[in-house]
Amino acid sequence: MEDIQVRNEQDQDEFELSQVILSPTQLVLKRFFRNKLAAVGLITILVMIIFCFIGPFFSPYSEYEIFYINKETGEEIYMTDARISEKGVKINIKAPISTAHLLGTDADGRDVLTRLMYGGRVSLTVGLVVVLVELLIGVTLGGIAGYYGKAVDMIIMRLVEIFYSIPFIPLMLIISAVMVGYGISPKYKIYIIMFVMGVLFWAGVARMVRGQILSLREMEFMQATEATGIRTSRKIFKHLVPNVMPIIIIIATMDLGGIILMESTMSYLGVGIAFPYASWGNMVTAVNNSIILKNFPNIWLPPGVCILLTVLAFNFIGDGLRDAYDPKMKR
Amino acid sequence: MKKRTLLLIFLLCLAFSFTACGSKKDDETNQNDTADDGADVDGDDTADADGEKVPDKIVATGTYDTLVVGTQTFNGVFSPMFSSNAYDVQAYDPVFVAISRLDKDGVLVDYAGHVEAKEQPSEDGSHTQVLYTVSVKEGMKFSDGEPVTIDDVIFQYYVFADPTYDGSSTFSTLDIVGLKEYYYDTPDYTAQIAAITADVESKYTLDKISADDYKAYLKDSSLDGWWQGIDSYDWVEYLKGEGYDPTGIETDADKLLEMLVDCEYTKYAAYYDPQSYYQAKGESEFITGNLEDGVDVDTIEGIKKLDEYTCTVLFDSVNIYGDREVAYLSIVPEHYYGKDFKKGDLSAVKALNGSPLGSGPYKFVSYQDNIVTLEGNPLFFGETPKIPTVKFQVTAQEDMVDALIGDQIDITDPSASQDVIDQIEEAGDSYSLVDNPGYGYIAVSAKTIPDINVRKGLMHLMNRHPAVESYYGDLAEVIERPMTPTVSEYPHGATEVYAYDPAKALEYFTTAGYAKDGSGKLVKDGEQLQITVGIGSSGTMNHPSAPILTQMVNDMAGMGAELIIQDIDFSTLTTKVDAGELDMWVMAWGNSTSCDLTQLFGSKGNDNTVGLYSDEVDALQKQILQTVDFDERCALVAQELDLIMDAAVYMPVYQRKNMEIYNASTINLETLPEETTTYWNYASQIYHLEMQ
Amino acid sequence: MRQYIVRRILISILVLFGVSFLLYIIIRLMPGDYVANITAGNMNVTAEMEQRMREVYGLDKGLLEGYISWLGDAVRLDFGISFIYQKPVTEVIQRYLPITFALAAIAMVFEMLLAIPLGILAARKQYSKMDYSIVAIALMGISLPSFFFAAILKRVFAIGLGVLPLSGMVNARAGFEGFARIMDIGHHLVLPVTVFVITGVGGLLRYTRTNMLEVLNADYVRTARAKGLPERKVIGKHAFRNTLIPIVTLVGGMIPGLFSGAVITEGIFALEGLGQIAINAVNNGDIPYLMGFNMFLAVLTLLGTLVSDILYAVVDPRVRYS
Repeated sequence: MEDIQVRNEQDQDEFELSQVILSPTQLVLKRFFRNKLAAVGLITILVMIIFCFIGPFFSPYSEYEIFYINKETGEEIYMTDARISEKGVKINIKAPISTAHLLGTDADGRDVLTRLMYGGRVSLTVGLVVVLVELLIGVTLGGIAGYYGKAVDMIIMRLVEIFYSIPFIPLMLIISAVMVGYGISPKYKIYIIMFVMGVLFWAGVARMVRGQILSLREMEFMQATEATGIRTSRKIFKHLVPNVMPIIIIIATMDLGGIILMESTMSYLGVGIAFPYASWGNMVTAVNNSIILKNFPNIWLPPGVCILLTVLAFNFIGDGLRDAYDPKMKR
Repeated sequence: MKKRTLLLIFLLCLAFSFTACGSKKDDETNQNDTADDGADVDGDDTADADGEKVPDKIVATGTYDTLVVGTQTFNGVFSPMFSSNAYDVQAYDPVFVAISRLDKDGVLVDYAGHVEAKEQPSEDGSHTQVLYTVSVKEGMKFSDGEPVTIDDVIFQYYVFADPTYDGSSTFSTLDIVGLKEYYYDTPDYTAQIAAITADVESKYTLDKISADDYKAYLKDSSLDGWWQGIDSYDWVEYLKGEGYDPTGIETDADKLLEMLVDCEYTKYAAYYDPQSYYQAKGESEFITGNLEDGVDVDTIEGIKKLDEYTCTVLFDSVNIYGDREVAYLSIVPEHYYGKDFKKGDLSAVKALNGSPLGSGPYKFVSYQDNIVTLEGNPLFFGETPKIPTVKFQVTAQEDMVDALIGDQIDITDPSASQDVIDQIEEAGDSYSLVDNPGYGYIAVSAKTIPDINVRKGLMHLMNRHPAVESYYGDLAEVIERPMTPTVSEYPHGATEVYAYDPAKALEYFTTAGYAKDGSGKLVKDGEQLQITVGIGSSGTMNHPSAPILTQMVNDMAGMGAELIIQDIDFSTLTTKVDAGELDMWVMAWGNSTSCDLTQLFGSKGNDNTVGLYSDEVDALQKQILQTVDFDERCALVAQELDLIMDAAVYMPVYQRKNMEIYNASTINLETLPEETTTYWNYASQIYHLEMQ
Repeated sequence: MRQYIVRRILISILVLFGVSFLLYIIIRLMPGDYVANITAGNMNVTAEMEQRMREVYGLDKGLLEGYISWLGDAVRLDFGISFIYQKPVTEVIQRYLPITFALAAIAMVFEMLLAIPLGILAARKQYSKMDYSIVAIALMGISLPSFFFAAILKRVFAIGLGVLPLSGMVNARAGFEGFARIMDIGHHLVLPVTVFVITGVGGLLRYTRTNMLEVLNADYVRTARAKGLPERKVIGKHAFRNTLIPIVTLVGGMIPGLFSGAVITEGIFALEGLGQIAINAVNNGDIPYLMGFNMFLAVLTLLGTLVSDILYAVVDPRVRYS
């Protein structure tokens, strides 16, 4: 298609322009850190990773430990205590911020801070796994389509269109119901959901990678490889893949944020991670209870802030990377 | 005819959800269809309908001329014959009147008609038949001016009995003379079915059935629904546990099923029911063969019209709810719905699902923008409605209280909680609380957990009091027996059987043969104790029993066992419970008004999903149904409930209250019913309600 | 060009078959079937009655058989009767379509009015404070789930300040007619539209900014500046027009979004739109509706890509399809 050719020409110009003396990596890093938002984003993500993956080791509580309280004495009772079935003992729900619970407890009497850390693990992992799956499928198929063209390209691109045309949310609801129907343990449900999301999202990646490879194929250095007659595998891995890398990295960072949001939307619809495990998404759905929203910001605000910061950070990094790699690159 | 006395209700309907669930309808229908002694209906206003001049439009009595009721998602099927959504029912309810309705105590009383029963011997004198005489009041008119006659009632019977009827009424299953013949469209239905039954009884009862037939049944019925494919259960382990050797065929579905059939036949033949299967099979083959050729039977023999306002319905056997079945129905106009109705084709009736017409205090105006609009009907036979317009507006459950306080709506029914009461009182509005005629429970299936010690162990892990108190505060109480305290036979002094006690639970597990292995897992025969529990809170776990399960997860993890929580939507949950795939499940019963627990815990009960097979319980149930003396019956019920508790299949959790809130600044609170009960609320006498 | 369009349409039809088959399989795999759902907890429903109802609803057919019979009707544009609404699927979609469309269309207009000028501004001042703040604020909107914003906005404007209605489409009590009714609906749409705009503006803004950056680095802009044109003219006449090209194509891709409905937002504001009833349909196993609705979206998506490709050729005279 000619629009691609037009782009090819532009890309070619751009390619020539960027032949500076700095090594490409140095150049990218220099441009990246020139963008302050991107740098801040990177730091935020590092902090979040430390908080979620190392934090739980310092928490005295477990992910879904519930706390009881004696109504009269106001004394908190741990769930392993025999007194929890005594009269006058109730669950310590919606407890205010205290030294025992730095962010209070939620509507089921569980420590918010601890769940925040465990929930972050899930949310970040979900993002990572989905991105890996979508990249694996998308890059492979997109690469094949772009490199071989013709009938292969035709078939793969029709497949991409089919996946594009399937509405996401109704499908996730259905998939979730199907999984329950086949008796898949809720513990593993989230992994399957992640896998399905990855399978659904590959189409966008494939399209992007294919476009990139199509334009690369026309470039002189590829024609040179053709002329020297090196092996196909070498052509792909030594010459094409490194050139597609930037776009892959950018897609990955941007999608990481998007998928964390997607996870919270699915939690809202009741098809996210299963009870009693936490994720930022299912914690933040507490915002829909008007009494919690009004009186207990300690329950909904922390997960909200975590999601906001993380997704924002991923977006900043993605933007920064894109500007750094190639200010012209489109998303 | 089997009769379910308890209805299932979707627990989440009391919490928050976007789903419009099928089961809540029963609960709602009865609340909104409810009625009282009809005293205030028979007032002077009846004169209106007798041809006197009536006002064209109803004029508001105060500043407000519109009542706005907050409700939830409509399906838009506003027809008493086809609706399956509680909120649809709520909205069309004022458009119709019923022949009889329930008063505030739940007793059937006259409303727009009358029903009476007379027992009589059958023609051959072999058994007792019951003749119901149903009549409608003379002089009533539908809102389009046409008179109400008994033909309208009979028309509805025929719609319900139609072979293609797919609504929620179960009228076609009643034992009315000639109904089966009409339904199956063959004059000699009884003889043919009898022949099938005789054939089945001679060949397929448990003691007579041949091994081949039995195995064919197991195979065709997929082990009575248990087998749902090779991955649906750990069949290999199961077979090994039963002493079979499935080595080499682990992945061959057909061979595995064959081995299972053999295993089940040899070891558990008594637990299956091939007879019913062959009976159903024979009948369904017979019916399908019958309906292909034109209409053979075009009337129901047992339904006879006496005069313009009276008809009789003849039941072939005693049905204690027979009067409700024939008279607790909304009257629908035949001239409107029945224009193009013929047997086997209900499309013309269904085409009017969106625009109901009846003889109730209000008439239907429109359904748009998520709002159903009704307008006062001056032709209503009772007290003329005071509010010119009533609107039902879809309001999200979590917005209901705020919307009412903000004067956007006037009446609504949020899920009851102490927080809501505080908010309503602070705003100076009014509310009512009535006992929900049902209860929440956690079931432990004896089918999947045959070892009673394991079940008892699980029961000892349920810490109910803090959970219920934290969720409902004073709006629910923990109950100790599987029956709602609104039933008068409930043993109020009953004590707790399985107190929360993890040590005792572990003791029971040990008795059952479980022990910790090297890795700290609680195992028996190398298999970890793993329990799957289903709960229907649509994934959000906003549920009173959530903390009970959380505590169980923690305690069981500490012992080396595992509790797997399947948080699923309600329709999936019922499907899985019916298929017997869950070890435990959390649900609630609604609308249970009887002490008859045959369906729930009887060996042949329809809802005996926990698999309680006890001769002792069966005998007691039979005795209870024949015991007229109240105290004596109470004692028997208490005894039965104790036996059920001993079997450790049902852990009753709570009985809660239903809430309705009223906007004090728009409604004239004095015109609300003096006493709001489970069966009687503002909607029961909506014609009496006034705005300020 | 015409040949190209015809070929694309033919291919799209092929794709639609693929989509419909995939959808049918997935939808039929759902465990909770409609009959089981409406009969759950119903008195005396016998197994026999359930079986008859399954036949009436066509649930007794096998997967392939069911698909073929669905397809046979669908090619004649008959998508069957929705189980829960008891009306033809096309009628149900028609009924709920306007509000969903209006909501999305209004939001889209606002999004463009905000995103394009701000995106251009940010690009012109790349790496400035202005750039950072515009990008940061816009991205915040796409960094939180929509139900979060909805809840906060309702709390502040409907419950707290009481200036906007909490939910619903019209003021039920007032029952306005004519122009007043339109104003009333508008009043009720303020919050939902705001949620849409907040959650949608970020992506569009980012896209505009990137494209503007590209254009600003192009030779012709450099030339325009070099020949001493005023900055206003450089931006307005040379840069902006060329930025429009990719934006126009993006708009083509947004068409299906106008109809698909925001499942979450509609639910929260109790709006009677396609998204909300889609969820209801999933929960109740309404197969005809789900098939009809999802196919409708699939058609729109394919149409959207087609339109955006054609628009590309229209706005950019260099592009020719053969």
